[in-house]
Amino acid sequence: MFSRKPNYLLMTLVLLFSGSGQVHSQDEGYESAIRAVRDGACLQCHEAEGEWSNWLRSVPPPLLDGAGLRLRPDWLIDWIFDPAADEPGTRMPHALAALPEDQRREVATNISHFLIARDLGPGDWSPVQFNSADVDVGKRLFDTIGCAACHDGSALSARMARRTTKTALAEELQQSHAIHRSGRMPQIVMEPTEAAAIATYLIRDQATDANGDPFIDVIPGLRYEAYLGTFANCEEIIEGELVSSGYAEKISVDPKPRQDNFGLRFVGEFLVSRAGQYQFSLRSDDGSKLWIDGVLVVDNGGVHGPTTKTGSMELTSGWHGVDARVFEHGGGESIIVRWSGPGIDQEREFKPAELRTRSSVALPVEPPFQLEPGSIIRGGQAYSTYGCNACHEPKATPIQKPWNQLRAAPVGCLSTDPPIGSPAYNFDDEMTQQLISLIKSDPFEVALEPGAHAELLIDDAGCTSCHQRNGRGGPNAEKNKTFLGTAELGDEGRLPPLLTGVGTKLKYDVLHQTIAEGLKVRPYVVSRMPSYPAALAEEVTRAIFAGDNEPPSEPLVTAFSIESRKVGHQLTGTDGFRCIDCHKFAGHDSLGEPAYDLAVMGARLQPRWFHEYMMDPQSKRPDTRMPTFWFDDVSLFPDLLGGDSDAQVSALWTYLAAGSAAPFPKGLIINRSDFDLLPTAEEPTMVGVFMRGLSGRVVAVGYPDRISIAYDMENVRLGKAWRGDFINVKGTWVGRAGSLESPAGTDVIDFAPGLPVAIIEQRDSKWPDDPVRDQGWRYRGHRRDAERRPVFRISGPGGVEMTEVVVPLVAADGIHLRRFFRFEGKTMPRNLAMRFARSKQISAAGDDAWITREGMTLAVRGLSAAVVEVDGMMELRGSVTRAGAEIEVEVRW
Amino acid sequence: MITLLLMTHMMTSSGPLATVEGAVDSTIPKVAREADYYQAVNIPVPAGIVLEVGGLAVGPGPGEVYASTRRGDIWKIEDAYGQAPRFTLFSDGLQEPLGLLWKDQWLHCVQRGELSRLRDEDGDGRADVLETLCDDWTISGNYHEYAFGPRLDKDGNFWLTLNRPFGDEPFGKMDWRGWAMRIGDDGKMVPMAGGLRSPAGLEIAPWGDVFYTDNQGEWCGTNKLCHIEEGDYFGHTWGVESAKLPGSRMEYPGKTPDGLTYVEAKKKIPDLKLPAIWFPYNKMGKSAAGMLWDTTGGDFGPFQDQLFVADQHHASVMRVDLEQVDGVWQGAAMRFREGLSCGALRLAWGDDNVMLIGQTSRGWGSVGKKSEGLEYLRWTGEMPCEILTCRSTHDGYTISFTKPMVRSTLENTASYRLENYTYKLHSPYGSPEVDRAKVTIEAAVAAADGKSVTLKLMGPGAMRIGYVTEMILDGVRSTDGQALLHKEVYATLNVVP
Repeated sequence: MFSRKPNYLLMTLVLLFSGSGQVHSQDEGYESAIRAVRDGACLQCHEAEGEWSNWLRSVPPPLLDGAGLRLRPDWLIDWIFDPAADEPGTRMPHALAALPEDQRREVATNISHFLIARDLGPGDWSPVQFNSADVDVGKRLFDTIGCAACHDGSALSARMARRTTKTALAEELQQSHAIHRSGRMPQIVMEPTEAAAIATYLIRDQATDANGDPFIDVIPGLRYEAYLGTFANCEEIIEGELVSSGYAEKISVDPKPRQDNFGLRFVGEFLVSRAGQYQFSLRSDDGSKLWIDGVLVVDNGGVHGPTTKTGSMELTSGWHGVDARVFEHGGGESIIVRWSGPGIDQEREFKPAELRTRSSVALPVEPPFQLEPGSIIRGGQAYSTYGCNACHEPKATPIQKPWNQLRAAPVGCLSTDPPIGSPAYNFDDEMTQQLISLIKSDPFEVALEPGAHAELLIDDAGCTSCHQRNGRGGPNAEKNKTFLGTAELGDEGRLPPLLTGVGTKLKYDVLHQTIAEGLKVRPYVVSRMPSYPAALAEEVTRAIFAGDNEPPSEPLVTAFSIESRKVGHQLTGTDGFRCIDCHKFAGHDSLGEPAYDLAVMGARLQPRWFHEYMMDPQSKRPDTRMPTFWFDDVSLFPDLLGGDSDAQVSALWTYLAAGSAAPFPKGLIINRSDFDLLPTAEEPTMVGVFMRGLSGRVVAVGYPDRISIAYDMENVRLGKAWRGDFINVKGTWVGRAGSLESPAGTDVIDFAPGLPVAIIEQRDSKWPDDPVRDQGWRYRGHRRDAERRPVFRISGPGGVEMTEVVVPLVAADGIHLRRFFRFEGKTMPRNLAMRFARSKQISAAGDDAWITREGMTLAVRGLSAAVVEVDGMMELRGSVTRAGAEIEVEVRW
Repeated sequence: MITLLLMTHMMTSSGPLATVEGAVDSTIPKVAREADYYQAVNIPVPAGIVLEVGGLAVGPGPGEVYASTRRGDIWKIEDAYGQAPRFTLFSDGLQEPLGLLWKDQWLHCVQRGELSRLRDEDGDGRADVLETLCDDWTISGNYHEYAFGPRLDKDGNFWLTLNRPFGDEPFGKMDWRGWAMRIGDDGKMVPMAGGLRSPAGLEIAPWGDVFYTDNQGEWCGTNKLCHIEEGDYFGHTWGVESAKLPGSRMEYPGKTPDGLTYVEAKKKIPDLKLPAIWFPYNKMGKSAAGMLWDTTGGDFGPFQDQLFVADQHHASVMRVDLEQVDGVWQGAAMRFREGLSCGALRLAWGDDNVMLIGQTSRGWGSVGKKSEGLEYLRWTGEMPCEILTCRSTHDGYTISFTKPMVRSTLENTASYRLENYTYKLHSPYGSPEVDRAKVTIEAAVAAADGKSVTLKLMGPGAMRIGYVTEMILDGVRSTDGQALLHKEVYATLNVVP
């Protein structure tokens, strides 16, 4: 519950330590006093200089912009009247403590009028209808994604129902950094619908009837909402234009607002008569999804014709929330949801009696709020008189005594009876004494060691609410149960990862990104890593690194070799340690358990940690299910790299360092029904497409080494090459298709347009640009070589035939390619020449090697190549003089 | 013969025969269903394979089937009729291969841009070599530039049909779209006939004539089956300019009049070929596709030597009885089997003379429960009560039946409803049935065995050239009390005998 603890911490200690390297004293009293000063924002009034200004810097107070619209007027008045009464332990001091109670109420009211008027309020407090299914979804999210790790759901919802509205709270949940600049309320990454559901759950108490009981309206059927828009997935639907809504007794496309480009959502509850396992089938055109109690049970997404997908879920008897969505691009449209299970032997649709919607009406808790001009003016004056503007915008210049002139005595704000204009903090005696000591002290007396500092920062950022570190923290027994995940991986599949030694495990940027962006690599863990304000993320990362790497160890450097990478590749797959039995690879499912993706490890982990973890996983995580592969340093594969364990771990690292650009491990199952087409681990994948920039007759080839080419059969030439992902063929495989496709990967290079080979009069004659067919060159097909790489064949004038095969070239700096040409015709025409590159500038780059202005390096073997200049362009050409000639061109880029 | 067949099937299948025997024993006529006679069986496809069948060929081994997919793969399927067929990726990387053919140990395949042949040289079930036999036509990169075939004529030439494009042509407008091509041993393409629209089916008759099916749309009044001869023009105007190019065997037909009936248009364009069969829209499918002659010698039921035509939209197979009069083909079309899993595109005879049906609905739309797949029909051995043939006479039609019929129902003219109509050759999408007229039966004379009836029709309007006569045989009954399984027959008349 870190939002309630006044315990913020020092953001800049590490800077100071790393600068001086001499400070080591430690004092628990100073520590909590410093926190109190920072939390209490003392320096907002009492300016400090030098080290103190950094050490005691105030935690950023909440931004009040929009507060007049976000917060209910009644609540706002109560809050200013006495903050601790609403939220015990709040950081907000009691600014009006010195006033008599009736006057205090009036001033609080005036300040509220001022804030509301400043935001051009009052806000819209009219009744909001919400669906009770959202309450259940919201509760499930609240309990599982991480909110409950810090908050008590029932206490919080009692406050939120008085404090705000569903819409405002949903917005606040999605931009908490903007309002709560302290980082005390980190931002959990969530969809707008999820934020709305959590907000609905938290303000559900607003919907009460005259007796204070929940005001629930039960309507038969499901509520439907019809949206206009061109959708590609079901999540987007609710971002479209809502054009109609109502209640329907069955899920169908009947409420469709038009023929094409619309989305429908059905939401409500369905009745389960008998507990047990239920199967759901979802048939639709185009995509659809079915959520039950907020869990995605059937995913029939994507643009497609009538297609059926199924899923199942264990359900208790009683009502369960349902959310079914379908969207329609063009053509026919349909959605049918069927279910079967205990008591429903024959799959069928829901009966009308099995469907209902419970709606609640959120009633305003106060009569419409009327702004009083006099109150606004008096409120504006009070805003500065009582020092609100010392912390909140618009800020005033501090006018109180500077820090170093403060009296070390229980007076002013530290007094139990502060004067008017001084806020009351109500510190206990012990804290008051500590603060007095702090005021007397010298800044260098209060330093912490790096390790202790890291612990402090971690505690104060709330990390230990969810994570364990050095045997401390982690959820307590009761909270522990709210962390859900996959049972197959034990607690590792459920609890957030250990933070013990995380500064030696993750790369600095990755740790920073994880904290700043809420990065998450374990999709099976249901709770979500929140994100923190950038400055705080930076401080925490720096503190963890300083703490964990003391004393620093030498970075482990692994030398690249092709042999090592090959071994790493083998060890990862089914001919090796079978890492893919448990781990995903580049988004592809493992063969068994869903442990986290191998292809992201190279970019995330520090090599030394990886090495130590591989040799002894339990040393890093005692309860891990990760096996050990070397016993007494003896490898399961004594033939690979001499069986040397260090060399084998290095090999794995070398291979994994290539990330998702690495060739797939052997045995990984590549689903050929995916539109993101991928080569298998064993052989190249080929697909015929229309390709932008080439022709309508192109075959794209994706090699296992994660390099791809496009061969233009119409123009008998290699057209493009690229690295990384192969190609997305949705435009060729969906509907009537016929899209011009493009490479999916990166580093796309275009080879010289025109024929690769031609008959020219002079070595520097203009390269012929007549249509390929008119010059007598034609595509003749291909042969698959031993590795099933295509060897393309073309024929030309006079019976000449040329083959070309592209072979990936694995090098330390990544993957390149080699083109092998062979002339196979019995006869060779005279003046036959090849052209390898065309550019504004081609320069020599060593023996028989050249580099183009575009950065393509070519090394030519098997013929004598030279640069010629034609029409202001430079071309790399060579003559082919004999039948059987074999030419190799190494292309690096 | 039937009994023998029944026994054969009893040995190979169990489930459906229980139904068959029950029906035989029953004395009460039950409502006949197509599935009682032709049982449909889905070939299970492993997860992860999307078998959108574009081409289908039965391989040389037992239980061996090759299916090319619209995604560009060819799958070799072994033990195709077993519980767990084995799928091997014979080839990938093809462009919308919509037809397969075995010849001389090579699997031939037509892609968008070329006629290719593939061969597995090392026997691992994967093609090692692809040779481009002909790519004399070009494509612009339009999705509708489909190519169909290849089919082999009696002289050993390949035939292909090329679809016309729709919409964008990103790389320019190409020649020879909407043409039928013959490709010789030398790989040279001979453009034989033009004016085709969407010629999704191509087949060579057992006697060597070339037929294709076309799909309703602009310049194509309704789906049709046409006999292709050198120089024919089929009425679609999109690609006719190619007739001016060297090599064309079709004369440039001039400007095609927009809005005449086909018969009237033919008076102005002599090369305009009238279809052998009109398939009245929606009554007989919506997307005529692959064809298959019944060469099973009776293994597939009573329709030997007749033609089956798949319909992609209706997920059905239709049946055609052709006749040749004065060298011109015409005939009658009937429904045969509906309710397949998905749009039927390709037909082939599988082992034990089951009818393999390659299916896909993607982008084209079809009825049915699935999006794609491979299914086969097996004759259960029971004789359906069907119209067998429908042949023209000088003043009417002689209709024969698969079973002896009650003669009194055959000779009662109230057993029949007859109309005729024709179609317009015009630029709008499809043609309504135009110039519709009721046809009156002057006399119905049944054969002594009750297995045929000759209808003598009244007046000159009864036998109109270029018209379809729609005959609905509501009232006829078999001697075992059955109504016809399909009571409609649509006869196209081009020549009066």
